[in-house]
Amino acid sequence: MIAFDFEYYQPLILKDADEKYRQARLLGEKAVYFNGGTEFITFARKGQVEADVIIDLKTIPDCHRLALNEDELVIGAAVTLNEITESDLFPLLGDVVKKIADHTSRNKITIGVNINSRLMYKEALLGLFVVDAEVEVIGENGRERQAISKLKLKEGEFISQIFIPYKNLQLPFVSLKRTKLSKVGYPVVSIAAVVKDDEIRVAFSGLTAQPFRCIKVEEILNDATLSIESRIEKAIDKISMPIIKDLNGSEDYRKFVTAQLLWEILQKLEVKK
Amino acid sequence: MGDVIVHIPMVRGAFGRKGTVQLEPLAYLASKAVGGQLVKLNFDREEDMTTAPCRIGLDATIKLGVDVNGKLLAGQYTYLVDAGAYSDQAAGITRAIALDCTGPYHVPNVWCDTYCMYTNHPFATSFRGYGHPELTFAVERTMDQLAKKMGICPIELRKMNGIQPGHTSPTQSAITENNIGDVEKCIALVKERIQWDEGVRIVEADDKIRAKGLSLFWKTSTTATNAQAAAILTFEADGTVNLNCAAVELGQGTKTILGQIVAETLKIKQADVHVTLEVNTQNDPHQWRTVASSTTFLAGNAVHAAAQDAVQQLKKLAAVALQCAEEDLDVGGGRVYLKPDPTHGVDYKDLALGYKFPSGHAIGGQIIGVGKYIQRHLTPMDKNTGFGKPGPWWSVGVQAVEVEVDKKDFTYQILNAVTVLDGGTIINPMTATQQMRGGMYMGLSYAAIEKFVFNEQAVVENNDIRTYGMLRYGEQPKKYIVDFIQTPAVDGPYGARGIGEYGVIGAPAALANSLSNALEVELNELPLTPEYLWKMKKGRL
Repeated sequence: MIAFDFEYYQPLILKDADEKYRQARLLGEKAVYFNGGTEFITFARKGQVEADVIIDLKTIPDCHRLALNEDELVIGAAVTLNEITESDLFPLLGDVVKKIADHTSRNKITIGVNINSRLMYKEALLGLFVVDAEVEVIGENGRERQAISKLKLKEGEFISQIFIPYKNLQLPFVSLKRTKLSKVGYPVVSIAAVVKDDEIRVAFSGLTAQPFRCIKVEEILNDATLSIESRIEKAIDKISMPIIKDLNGSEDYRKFVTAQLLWEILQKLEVKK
Repeated sequence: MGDVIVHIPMVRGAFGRKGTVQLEPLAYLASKAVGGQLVKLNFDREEDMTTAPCRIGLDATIKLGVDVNGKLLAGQYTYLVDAGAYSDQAAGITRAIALDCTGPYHVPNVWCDTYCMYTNHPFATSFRGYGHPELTFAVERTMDQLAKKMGICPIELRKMNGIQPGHTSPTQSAITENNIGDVEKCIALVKERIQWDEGVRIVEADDKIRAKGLSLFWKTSTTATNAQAAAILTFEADGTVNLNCAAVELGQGTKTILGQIVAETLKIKQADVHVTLEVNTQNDPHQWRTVASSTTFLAGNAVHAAAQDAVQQLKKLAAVALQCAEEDLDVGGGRVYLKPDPTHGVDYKDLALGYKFPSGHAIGGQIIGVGKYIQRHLTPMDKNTGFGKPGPWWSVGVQAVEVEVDKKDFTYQILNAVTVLDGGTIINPMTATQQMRGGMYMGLSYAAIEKFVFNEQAVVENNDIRTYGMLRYGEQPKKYIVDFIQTPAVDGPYGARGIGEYGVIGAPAALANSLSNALEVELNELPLTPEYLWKMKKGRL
């Protein structure tokens, strides 16, 4: 059970959500944005998170947008993972998020919760890093657009919408995920890759403390003067963040799996170039 | 003890975990603290996984000596049982492992040391198989390695050494025609069902390898030497029957099977037998416990005896009603009738509450069938030699698994899982088959991925379902194949022995043997995750 009392606030516009947070801050209260509840509820039950006020973003219509126009695809932060997959508006992202948790959970997990996850995986970011996605951040500066690759949320700020350039929605892609054993589970490694302008772009989750996309890694993977094995070996060596070791796998095993997945990805994408 | 009444509803699952008490005394103390009010005590998931007992761990070393033909001459077994912080059932499990330490093989010279070890891990209690899945893993991995060393087919090695009537168990208990299943017949049928002759290791396209592995297993029910059950049958005015006994329905189908025994003995329809699902210790006769795959045997014998007692009373009363001798009578179709002329008879409903003559005179009183059964000739282990007769019989079986392994990334799929079990007469083939399937799934999940991960302070790091992996729906074997050999036990109800736990026992070993065959590497640890397979194959630490 959740062993603390909290105020549950349902704003109807973005501004109110932001204001409520500031108010709580001024009163010395701990406020948390609530977006689907899949993380808050599980963490609160285990005593790993507490709040005096929870601010629900699901009641704000802007956070539910799922719309395609001639410039970009707009996905609200409160759109669920299953809604994204079923819309088929962005196949790469639909494929990436389909591998997160299980179907029933994906009815509730929102993209906003996943990209702001308290856990290290944030696998939805894989489908956003490689396509130059942007996000709308709500904070003291009102509504502000930022590139997702450079995203840094200040305290009290939250993401309301995600934008993907129209021209990047149908890029050839491959997304692969390996877990400890099951189809469902946290990643040992999860990789998404696209071909854009004849070059491969690739993003990783589960390998290091945060998901990432690294230009230097991509330069090596796109270096046609090297053999595929050589490219993969050098690319993995180039990763500057430490490779993690946890319940799902050791560092060396993660490197092995990454090499396997990159091999498969390069095979598949070379054909699609 | 007589002041305590226990109500047991249908429990649904437990697999041995309810063989101990932990919540019950705590709930009692909580209720006592508030003057006897009703209290409810729940563990949440994380507490349940580490506070409530789990199953044992095992560290085993086995050394086998054979002659040039592969016949076993000697076996040395050292079993270290990780019991956790308290000994609970682990002490009994340690004993059970010692009693069956060789597996179902004839080993003329045996030395076995089995230690119940205190560790700072969550404590262990009984879990399906009571130490046998663990010991079978160790024995069967050793047998497969021995077969490779000798250059003998693993099936031939088992056939050559299978235990038979005339041999003795590790603790010098005599093996007879009646107290053990037929190992050879089980082996022969599994060989056919897994299509062993098509090849143990087949390389396929796409870097896949298909391979098979098998395991032999046995188990006896180590009960208390005075373990017993009893049953009471009462009749309704319409001739239908109520069965009262303290066997607990855990989802193993025991109430159905006991109902079947009543129906078979009284020769009535099963629908006319009302089995009380709930157990109430004040009203129901004493039953040792519902564990150890012993319920069909103990409660079944008691129920059979109660039904026979009822038949006796029915015949006695019918003899008066029909004015003939008891020996002339038989039962069938819900009535008692004259053997030479079945048209002469009287329905159960006219005997159930006594018999009333046309004149109005009533005789006999209601039929109440009473039966009981207690274990025969069981002994504890001798302090010096370890010899003893631990249980009434051994059921035996063979399990085999076929896997498809990707040799590039060491991921695998379980294709077929086969069980051939000799548990004596199978009273309900459908529930028995399902027992085997469920057991196989359990054992395979256990072997493939389940494990507590301890940090350096021995704290469990994966104490929730997200992080403690299990085989999920869709990852179970593509096909379960189950068969039974029915070598009857003369002292079991309709020839039945026990079968409840057995589906789990050989599965981990069979999986390890098949993966070892596939990758041509010796896999002697669990769980068999792709990372472990990779580690062993690449020779890295």
